[in-house]
Amino acid sequence: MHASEWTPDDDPSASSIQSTLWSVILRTANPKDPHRIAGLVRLTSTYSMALYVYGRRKGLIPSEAKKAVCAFFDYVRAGQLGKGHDAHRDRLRSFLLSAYHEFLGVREPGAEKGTKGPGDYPKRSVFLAAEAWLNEFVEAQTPPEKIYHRAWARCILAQTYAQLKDELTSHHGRRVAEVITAEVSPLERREFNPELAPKLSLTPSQVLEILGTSRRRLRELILATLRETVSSQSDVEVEFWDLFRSL
Amino acid sequence: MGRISGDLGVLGIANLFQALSANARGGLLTVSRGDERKTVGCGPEGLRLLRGIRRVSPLGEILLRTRKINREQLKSFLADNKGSGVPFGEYLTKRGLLSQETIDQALREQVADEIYDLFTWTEGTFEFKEAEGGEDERGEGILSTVLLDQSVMFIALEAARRMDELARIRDVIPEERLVPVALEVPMAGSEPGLDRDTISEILPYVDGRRSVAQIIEASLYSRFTVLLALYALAQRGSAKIRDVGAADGPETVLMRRPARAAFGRRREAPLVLMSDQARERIALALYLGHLGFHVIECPTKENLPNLLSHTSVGAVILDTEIGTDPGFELCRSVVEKAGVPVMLLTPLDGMRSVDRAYQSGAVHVLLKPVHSELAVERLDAMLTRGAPAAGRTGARD
Repeated sequence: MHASEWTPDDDPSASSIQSTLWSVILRTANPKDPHRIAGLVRLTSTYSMALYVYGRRKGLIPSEAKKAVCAFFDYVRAGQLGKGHDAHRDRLRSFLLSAYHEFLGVREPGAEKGTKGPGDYPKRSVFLAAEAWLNEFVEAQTPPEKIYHRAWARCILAQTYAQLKDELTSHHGRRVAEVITAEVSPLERREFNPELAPKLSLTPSQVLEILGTSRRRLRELILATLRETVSSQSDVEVEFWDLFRSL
Repeated sequence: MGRISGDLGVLGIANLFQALSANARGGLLTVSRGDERKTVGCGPEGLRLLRGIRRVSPLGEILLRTRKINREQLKSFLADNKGSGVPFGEYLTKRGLLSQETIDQALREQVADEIYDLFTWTEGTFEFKEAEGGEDERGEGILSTVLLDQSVMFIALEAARRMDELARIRDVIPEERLVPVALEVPMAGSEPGLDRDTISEILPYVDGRRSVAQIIEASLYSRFTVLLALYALAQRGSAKIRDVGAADGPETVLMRRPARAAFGRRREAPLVLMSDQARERIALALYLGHLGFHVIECPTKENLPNLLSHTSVGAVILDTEIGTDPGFELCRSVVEKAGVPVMLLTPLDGMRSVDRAYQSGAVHVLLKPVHSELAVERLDAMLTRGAPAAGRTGARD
């Protein structure tokens, strides 16, 4: 089964009480269960930028850091992920960091030769964007763990912005979606720019309404995305807090 | 020390408080909206409103509405104290007119109203500065010395309840410029969280001329209470909400919208889920919340009496796996003191235990592990009937 086809609902063992992707993965006892592996590959892929920058700050050159992430994908596919790291099981973010840290420690450089085709790995653009972000926005002295958490927060926001943009596009068209997503930020509140209305062929009150709805929707999407990476609601609050501390 | 800031419209004040609570963070939270700004000190002992006191509920009004003084006394005391520079509360205690305890209680209520008012702010920005051991700044004015000795979680839960109520009210009163008009229909029944006296005191202001905003300004009650009262009047057909439009606008429009379900399920009071088993509690709360129940989680039995004394609830679910205490006494206490129907979840087996559970006043007893659909069925019955309608549910039926 392809990773993108798998959802928690496919797992008959999943309870209706908790059905986040991460909690279902945790409940699947067999580490080589194909559903579990597909879910893990999907999650690892989503956060591969964080793994890459962690490797870079641990001293790997760009090509090595990229190969390490790809090798980690093979490791996940082989059902190796999930042994140990019990202290970090509640949250995918800490679990993945712990597992990847250990993986880098035992991995033999060059072992990734002969891995599967590039289509199965994160796209080249992910690594290029990560490299550009590291060079432009991250101070050289920042510790690897801190960079990992910051990159993780960026991955969360990237997903939620993409979803918000999709929803806005389907309701209001591409132009409105682009402008509104650029105006909405969890970290700052921009002054309302009345010039937006004529640009978008809307009235100012319509723009204000779309902005307000988009802000609330962005919050829902952030919480929903975080929920997929933890095993309980109380962990969502902790992740929510850490997300904004990291950004 | 950590510091985070951002857009309140994206994060939401309720999420912010819940995150503070879940992370046990202490420090200073400043929330800004236009020219308004409030700073709340969050510490292990509770909350303080350090800056940004508005006139949500002045002390005199709180004393009046809690019937500690009457209207004539208030006028006389205010006139006597005018120009003295002495805070009104201090004036009342020094003259022996009211006890310090009464004033303290009123001040706490005043601070609580101010903080709950924050939860109605949907726009603005916030900044949180973490501080070791809680807040570390001195505030402004007498209210900044008042400690609201409730946990951030309690405040967040109560605020969430109010937000739910406000969402319901907004369906009927979408804007405060609208004008309520009283009709010749007697008010029947009562609204949860409001007594008939409150409605009676607000009703004279519903004169067909004052807008909702003006009624809030003129009455003794907080914005939330006035909105709740007007909502109750409109829902029971005792008032209409009129849109008079702008001066040069369209004709007067009469409007009265049907309310949607209170909590996405039915118009029912919230239920409290008390369990010190965090995972089970959260799981059951999520499940019930998903089905549309409004669930207030209570992690310890010590918090339960406080919660029940401040919140109008429809039912209590008690998970009784509390060490060696089977929870029967707690159940009895809830039933007797709060008059709320109780469902007991118990790991104890055997008819004797079940009998004891019923003797302690429980309406339903479910053996653990709980059959979730059965629990929902029983809760539906409890919340619909309100009063205990005992059915023996002890076996794993």
